[in-house]
Amino acid sequence: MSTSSSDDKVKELRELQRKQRKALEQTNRELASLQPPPKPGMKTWVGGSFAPPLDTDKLTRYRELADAAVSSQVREVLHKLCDMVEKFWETPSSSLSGVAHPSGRGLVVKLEDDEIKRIWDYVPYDKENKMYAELFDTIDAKTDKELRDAAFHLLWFAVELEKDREPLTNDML
Amino acid sequence: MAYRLATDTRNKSCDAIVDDIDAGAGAGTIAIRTGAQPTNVGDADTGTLLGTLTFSDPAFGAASTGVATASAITSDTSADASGTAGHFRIKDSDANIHSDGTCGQGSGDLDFDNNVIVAGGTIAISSLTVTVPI
Repeated sequence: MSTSSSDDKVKELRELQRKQRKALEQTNRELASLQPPPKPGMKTWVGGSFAPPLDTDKLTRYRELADAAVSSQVREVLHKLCDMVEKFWETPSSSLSGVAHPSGRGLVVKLEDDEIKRIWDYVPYDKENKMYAELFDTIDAKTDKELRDAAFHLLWFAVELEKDREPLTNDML
Repeated sequence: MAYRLATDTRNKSCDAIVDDIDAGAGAGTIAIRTGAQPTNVGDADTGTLLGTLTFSDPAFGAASTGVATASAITSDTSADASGTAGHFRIKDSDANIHSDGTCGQGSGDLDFDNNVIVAGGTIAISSLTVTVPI
């Protein structure tokens, strides 16, 4: 089998996986709408988290912090997330219209389909982000504050991109 | 037929609950913290403080049909620390605990669509309500 034929099959498989993931997310949303209402007295409230912006200087520093990290797992994941941000920065901003953020602050802009495909291989799945959160929570908040802040800053971007939307940083509010 | 509360009773109950947040000279607060809630609501704080948002003073308008709606909640525009929002604690301005609840992403009493908090970032909460059932 030729290399280009193999590449095409890999692309087809990834596209199929993406469509399956979207279908699953839609099913989960529909199921959630069928859930019983919250217990009286306990109403679901909606919160929003908006990280500071990220630039090339910060990303360079984050790579330095990753290289100096004692944990090889932290080091590997941080570099992976830095690669994700750099890949995202290669793509133009989405031209789609925005909708109000659930918290009432700012507008959420979905990424265009082509953009999603371009960065697909670099963006972690939701379950991976949850694992990374547990890993980063092992970084001491006092002795390694800068590393911890860098890790969660990158993770915040990963969560935003996993949701196929432009990261809404606090300077955009 | 089940036990029921009259609307007026529900309103009075609801007002009493939310007005308790206004105890003290200033506005009540909502602290976002990492980890699980303390075992009992009256226990000491647990986890790391990620940020603190401030209620209006008074925090809620008058209850109607057993529902009180919060007035504007001031965002924390410079979060104190980085981590995952695990739970929240509501206190009056004298730091007396009023209530607490869980934080989650797509779940929890306080549902963040991105529950990763970054130091220096902004934490916001939409308008919220407290309900006393029939």
